Amino acid sequence: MYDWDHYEEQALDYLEGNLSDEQRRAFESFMESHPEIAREVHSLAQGMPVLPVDRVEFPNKELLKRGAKSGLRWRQIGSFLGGAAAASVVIGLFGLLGSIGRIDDSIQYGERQLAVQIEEVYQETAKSVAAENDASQEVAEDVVSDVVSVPERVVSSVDAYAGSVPRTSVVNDETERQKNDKVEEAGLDQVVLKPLFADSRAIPDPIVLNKNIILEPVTLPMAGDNDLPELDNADDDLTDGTKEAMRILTSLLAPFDDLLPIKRYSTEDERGIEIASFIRIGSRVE
Amino acid sequence: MTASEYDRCVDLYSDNLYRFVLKSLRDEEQAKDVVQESFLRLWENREAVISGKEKGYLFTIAYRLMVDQIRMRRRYVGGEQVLANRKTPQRGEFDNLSETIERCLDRLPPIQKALILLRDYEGYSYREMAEMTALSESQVKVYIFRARVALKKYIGDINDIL
Repeated sequence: MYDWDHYEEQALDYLEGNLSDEQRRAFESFMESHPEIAREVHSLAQGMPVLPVDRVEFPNKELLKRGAKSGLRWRQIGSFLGGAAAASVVIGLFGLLGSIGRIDDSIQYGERQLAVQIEEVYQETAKSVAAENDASQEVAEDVVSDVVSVPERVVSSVDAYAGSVPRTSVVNDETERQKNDKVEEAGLDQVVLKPLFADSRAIPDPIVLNKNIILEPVTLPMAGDNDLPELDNADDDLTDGTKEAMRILTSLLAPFDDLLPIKRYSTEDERGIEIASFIRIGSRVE
Repeated sequence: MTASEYDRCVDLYSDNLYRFVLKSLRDEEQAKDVVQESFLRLWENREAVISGKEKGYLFTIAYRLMVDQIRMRRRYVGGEQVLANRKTPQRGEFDNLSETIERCLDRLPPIQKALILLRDYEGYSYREMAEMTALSESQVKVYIFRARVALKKYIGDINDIL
């Protein structure tokens, strides 16, 4: 009795002449009793469709090589961050399938797979955050030497789809103003970076870069509304946290030679107070 | 693997890897990302990758990254629906054989498409493809046969239209 389950495998071997005489006879006998399959096989025997020669060239070969450098990367980054005066800055490398919508028509960009939320913590609030992150703080001193290896680990471990921008919770504007006042009075105390992941399985453990900078991954809420208003990109008014965020972002993206910030988006609470901004990052297509 | 050996892999394999991924995903940006990530992983694992097996390693990584991508598409974009709803070809839609084959290829399920690309462009054996895709050799043959039947049928349909 012929094994139905394997007829397709046998058919391919039959067509490619890889059956023994005995197997071939068995298969031919099987085809006699299954004319539909026989038709398929005979049709292929008359001409097997194979892919025609087609040469494709990878465009940025030099960028793949070790030692290939691009001086283009961060020149524009300041202007894209300009005007971010909020207490929370979200820097997004949106997912491969992400669609924020608007994109500079003159240049095409590819999208990447990581979003990093950066929270600034000022002196007054640092205490409570420090208490929450007590364990992390303790680890801080031990892992400072990890700083260099962190960017590559973080970026390359992201397999999650992060195409949707997280909704930012609405912040009371009074609290916001008080916090911004503290920026001038007290200065930045701590920066918490939160890489955002759509898939909790992809989340690495929190990483303390140093005692003031904590990498604390969180799950990305898959919000439906990701159409954020686009902002003008002025160069002034950078907060300390934004500057620090830029430094960290530069370090996080260092393994990628061709990434550029594309546009800045912001989100506001219902009173029009800006509570977060997003930097969209992409790679230039030559 | 030294940096210069790695760079030689880029020269030797990046075009073919890109062709494989590009034709599988049909998205230049995603394809570039997958190629970049595959080479990054090759570099990260340069000590572990056996000399002479670099190409297979790259294609294996790229294949797995693509499978993840395709799963994500299905989850978030409804890719299966897109595939299912793909329209039938119309007269005048195909200008040449190459384009015809491309269209035919696009109609195959992703795994069959990837296997056909590996077989026809890269000349991998069924056993090698089984190792790369974590399928059994038998499954690989079944998928290849189904893909050939589908291509043949589809090309036949187009010829009827033309």
